[in-house]
Amino acid sequence: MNTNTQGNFRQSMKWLHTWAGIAVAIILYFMFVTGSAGYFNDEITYWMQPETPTVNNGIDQQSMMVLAEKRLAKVAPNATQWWVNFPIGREYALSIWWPEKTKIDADNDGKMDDEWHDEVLDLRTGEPIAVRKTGGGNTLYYMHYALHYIPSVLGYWLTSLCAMFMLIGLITGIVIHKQIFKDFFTFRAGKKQHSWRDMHNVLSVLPLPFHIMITYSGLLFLMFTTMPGVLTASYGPGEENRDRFYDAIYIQDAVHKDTVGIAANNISLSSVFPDVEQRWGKGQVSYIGIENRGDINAHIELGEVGYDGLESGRSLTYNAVNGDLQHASHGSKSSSAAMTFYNIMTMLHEGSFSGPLLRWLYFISGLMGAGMIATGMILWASKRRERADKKGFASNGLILIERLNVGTIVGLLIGIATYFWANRLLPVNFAERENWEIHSLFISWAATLAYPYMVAHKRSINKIWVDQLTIAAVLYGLLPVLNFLTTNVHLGNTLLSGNWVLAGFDLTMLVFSVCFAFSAYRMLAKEKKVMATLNTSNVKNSKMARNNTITTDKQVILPIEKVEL
Amino acid sequence: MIVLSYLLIFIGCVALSLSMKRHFKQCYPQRRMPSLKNLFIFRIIGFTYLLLSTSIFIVEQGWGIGLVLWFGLLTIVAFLQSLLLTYKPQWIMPIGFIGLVGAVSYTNISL
Repeated sequence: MNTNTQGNFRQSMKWLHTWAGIAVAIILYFMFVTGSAGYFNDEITYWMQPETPTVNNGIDQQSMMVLAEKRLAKVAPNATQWWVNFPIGREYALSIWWPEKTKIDADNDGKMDDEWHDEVLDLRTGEPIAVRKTGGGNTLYYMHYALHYIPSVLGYWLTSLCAMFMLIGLITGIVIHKQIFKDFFTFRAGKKQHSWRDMHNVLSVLPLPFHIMITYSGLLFLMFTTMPGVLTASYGPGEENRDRFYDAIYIQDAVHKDTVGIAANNISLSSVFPDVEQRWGKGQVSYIGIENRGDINAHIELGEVGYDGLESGRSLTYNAVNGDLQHASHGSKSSSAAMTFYNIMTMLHEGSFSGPLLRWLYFISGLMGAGMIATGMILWASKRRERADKKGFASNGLILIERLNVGTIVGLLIGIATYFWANRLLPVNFAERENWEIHSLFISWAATLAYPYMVAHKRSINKIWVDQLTIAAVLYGLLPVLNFLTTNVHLGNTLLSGNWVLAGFDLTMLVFSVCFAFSAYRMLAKEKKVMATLNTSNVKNSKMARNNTITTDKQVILPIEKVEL
Repeated sequence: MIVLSYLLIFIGCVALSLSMKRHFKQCYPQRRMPSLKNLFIFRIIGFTYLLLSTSIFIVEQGWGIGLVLWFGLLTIVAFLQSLLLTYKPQWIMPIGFIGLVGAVSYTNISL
């Protein structure tokens, strides 16, 4: 293939762009798709736990707190910490959680360790509600930087490496793009590989600020894993020195004291609410917790809900013995300019400050990123397919990538649809259901990757695209129907009650379904056209037709196919 | 205000694409190409509208979120614009005109 690195600068950058991209395209595509879904992690989890109560009109936080505290006193009377999350902002349930000391490791000198428990509470009665176990949106989100089925540190390394390639791809892409501004709006349809290049350009250039930000900040996120040398150089090796570093960069609030072992009675958590509501207004608490419970150094911490600015919300800390306000923090604080930069970059990556509109913009930009990778992969194949068609044969590498492209681009999306299907179809009490949700994602993805090879001798690549796009359209299109059959939170109810989060999920699935169906339809039309021209050219050129069926050891001579949509 | 900024970004994109020969031809296949000077005027109008929408976001939402929102919206509007230019170029001027009327009336109402 083209290994000309000695040509002019742009030529060598082009080479780098192509091969850096194609080398890690599958993982990058996976990261973009699951990461985009991660922008709606809480909303996806909410949909995947349909038992979550949906009514919270007119119940104020203090009375919720009283119920939560009653329940905590019952299930965790001796816990050293209590935490409560309110259904506000992007939280959709009143939930409590607490640690319990358990012996988790016999080898570790029988050391006691915290095991965390959690419950979702009914807002009216305060009784626990049995919500199904699910990986939810967080598993999708987690996979986009830690991957799955491999140790997480290896996952961090792999995703960091791919992000590095992505950064190379972006920079070389800018260098080789001759007319970024002139071609800003340019998309020419129906011109084979040129159309793919146009679409690749459009999907890369328009969200370029997003792409650069997301890649660069993604690298920053994992720098403590991938560049421990920097840390070791100034703080020395070993875990102790690393802790010293973390202490130095994350300001330890003076209010977060350790236990001293003197027992003391603590005030009730709900008793601080009048003071909090005076400061923040009613119903503004996102979480509340007590640490060092039962100790004289116990304190109560509350966080404010809010998206204002590129910093985290305000928090209040109260002394849990006498109820005095100990500390009021105004957003995130950092010790240095570098740390502020790091915080801003990571928050930009997560979009943690976004309201609904901005979250959608993030999601769409992320999907455009996935589209950029996908069109890059298709462009690679379609360029070589055109050349192969002229010569009359295609190399094994090209055929491999062509088939891999279908299984990757559509297959992963089929896998994610299967993940949602598994959530509704696996028995609610099935102990391993969290794991099997994810297994079903990867099993179906593996099947879609294998499918193009299994039917290779019967179906053309275009038909394989049609097959998988149709499967995707059916799976996404029937999700709201499945939801209707298995739960109460289907569109009929959610639209009527104005629950736009749950309704939005179902509607989004329908939109995806329509997109897949449309692509399948267009692809089918294309395939028919190709078949028609192939038939006439076969009559005219019998030599060509004969060539198409000859198979040699090294090179498979395939019928003329077009990969373009 | 988001609506207004969205409209301004769209008008900006329409004006910018009209300032490019290729896209002018897509919108007006029959009409004679304007002089370079006139194309340049379109470009100035386009950038003015984009700047206007940026400043609205920054005033409304602050530098950080304002710019993030603006880039996000610009991405989507420009993407829609490139699809319109390819598939329905004849819609662009009517939509742009409606956008302009909408923006003017929105400003009048809110002032």
